[in-house]
Amino acid sequence: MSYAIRIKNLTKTYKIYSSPRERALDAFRKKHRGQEFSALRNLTVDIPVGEVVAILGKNGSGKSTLLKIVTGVSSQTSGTVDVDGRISAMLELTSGFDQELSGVENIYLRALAMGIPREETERHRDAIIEFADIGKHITQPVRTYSSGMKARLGFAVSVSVDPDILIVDEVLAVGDDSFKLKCIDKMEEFRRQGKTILFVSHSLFTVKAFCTKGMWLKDGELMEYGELGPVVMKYQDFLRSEIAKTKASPGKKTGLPDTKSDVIKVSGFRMVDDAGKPTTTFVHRDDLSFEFRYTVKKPVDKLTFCFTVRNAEHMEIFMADKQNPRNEIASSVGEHTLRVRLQELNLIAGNYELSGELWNNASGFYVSYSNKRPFTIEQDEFLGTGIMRVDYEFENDADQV
Amino acid sequence: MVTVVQNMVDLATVNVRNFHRTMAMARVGLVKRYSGSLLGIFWAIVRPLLFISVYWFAIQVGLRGSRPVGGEPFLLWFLPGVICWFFISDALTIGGASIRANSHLVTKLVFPVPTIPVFTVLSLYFVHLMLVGILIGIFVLSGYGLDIYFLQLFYYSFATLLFATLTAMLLSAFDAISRDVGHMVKSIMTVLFWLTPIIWPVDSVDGFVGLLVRLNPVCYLVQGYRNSLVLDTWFFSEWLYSLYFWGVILVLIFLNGYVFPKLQREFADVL
Repeated sequence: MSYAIRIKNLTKTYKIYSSPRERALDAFRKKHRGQEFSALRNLTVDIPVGEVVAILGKNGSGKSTLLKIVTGVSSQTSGTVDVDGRISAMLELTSGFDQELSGVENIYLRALAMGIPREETERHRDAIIEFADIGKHITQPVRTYSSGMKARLGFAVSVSVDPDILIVDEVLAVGDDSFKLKCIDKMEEFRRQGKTILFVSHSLFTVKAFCTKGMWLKDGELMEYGELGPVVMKYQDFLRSEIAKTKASPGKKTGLPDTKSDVIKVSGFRMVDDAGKPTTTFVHRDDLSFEFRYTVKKPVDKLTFCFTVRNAEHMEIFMADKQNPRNEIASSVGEHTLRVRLQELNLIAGNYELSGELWNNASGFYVSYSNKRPFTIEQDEFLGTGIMRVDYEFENDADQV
Repeated sequence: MVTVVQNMVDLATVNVRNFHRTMAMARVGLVKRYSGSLLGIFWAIVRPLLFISVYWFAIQVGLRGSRPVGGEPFLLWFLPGVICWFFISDALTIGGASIRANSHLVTKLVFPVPTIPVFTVLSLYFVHLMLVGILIGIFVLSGYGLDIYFLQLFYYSFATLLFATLTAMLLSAFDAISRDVGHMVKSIMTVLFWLTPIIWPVDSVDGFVGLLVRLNPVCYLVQGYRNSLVLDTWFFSEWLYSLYFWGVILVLIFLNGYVFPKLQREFADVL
């Protein structure tokens, strides 16, 4: 098997200095001072040609450092990186643009900075402009562009070089959906041509749609590397446990500001099944109930309760009306328990989130009791994809005999 | 020692191998600096000309101190030196901050970092050459004319470019690590302007002070521009001084070989 990138025992240690002077002096010292911080620890990975590798991990886990070393921007502390082929790196799409120059001039500027000869850019010019698809703005100074337009232009230049290895670091976050699709199409095209792609994205949705292998980094260490599915599953498990940990740790109640806690204290929240047992997994079409305990410490005249159901991408599916008198709850001083039953949830199997707020319209304050609590819907029978089940009936002028 | 020599060779190789890109970046740098303004490149000329006029006014009219120097009209004597100075001053302040100013090339793209100060200084050099052209025009039009000594201008302007590039490279490496260097350079420039014989003739000091003044390599270059246009002196007639200057250049090359690669490893982490 031929490899595009072979990484062996790669370690990157950043040194943290108390002052820039120390850093300058340290460059000339035999014995180094300065506190050490390991961004990557003893990483060994072989990436075969033609794979699309998703690099997963939380912020600060070493993803960007790895990409920077592979591209050659940053140097490693120890270990080796062998790269076979021409790399085009998209560490940032818009860097290197000059605000005053026009879009066309910036194409040349960025290509030049990437080391592409002018004649080559000249050849690709029209294709780049067409791909960027920002219309007549292309002749205007880049300072008049929106961030999405800049990203379009940057991406268009970066993919024009026909690389063997493409490195994409979380650059699709800006730009609208049609542009994202276009980018993914382009990368898909690269993949079909047998090019190797390293891809960092926090959108697991995108990753699942198009990567073949996964690499999960945690605190600079390689946790998993292999076929995408299992790696993503383990990573997601880890993310869930992380969230659970933040929830569980006392004194760290998310979204509960101190000043408001003098008035209202949320003392408990749990989702329960029909039998009253705590769970976060529910069956499609069953009722989802949750219990919510709160203590009113100072008299408030009116409390309203409002909840929101979101999908895993935080898209709102349903939010209860905040103004509706029906949603008013007990507001006398003392401890209360509120039970909410969401009836016959029509959600398709998958992960969702539940969040909610306590409102007092008179004083305009609110307390969010839970910040996007996850829950899972399971389904025995596959009915279709999406968010919500739609019941339907066929009436066909059937050829009944 | 061996590694330093190796580093020096490496720095030179990087610059030679990427020469086309460096030239293109220098040209773009010029376009960038003056784009978005109506008069464009015109400003590159206007600023120094305005400066020169003000100095000339202050000295000729204000101080009434502009006796012809060594038989030459003050303005003609003053111009070559000050034009040389403008380039050196810009090269050290702008070129000396070039790596920090182009940090995106270091941290976001794969770019030959040692060429950054070079293309920055080169783009300033284009402007300088334009000014030298105007300077020659003034000499011709004023009826002062050009003689064979004028050919030395090629030598001196090359020496100036080399000195400015090497110094800017060294400064830019330090400046990338610490901002202090940029501030320091800016402050020192004013001091250097008055300590260099730009608006006063170098002959007016002699002895130990005169020697100190001449140890400043900028003095050699400023005097050189004058030698070529007004003083009619050959650079080899001051061969010891020329030797000293090239000694300084060698030291600068050596320092770059020693410092630059060491600091370059840190660039991506600090910028």
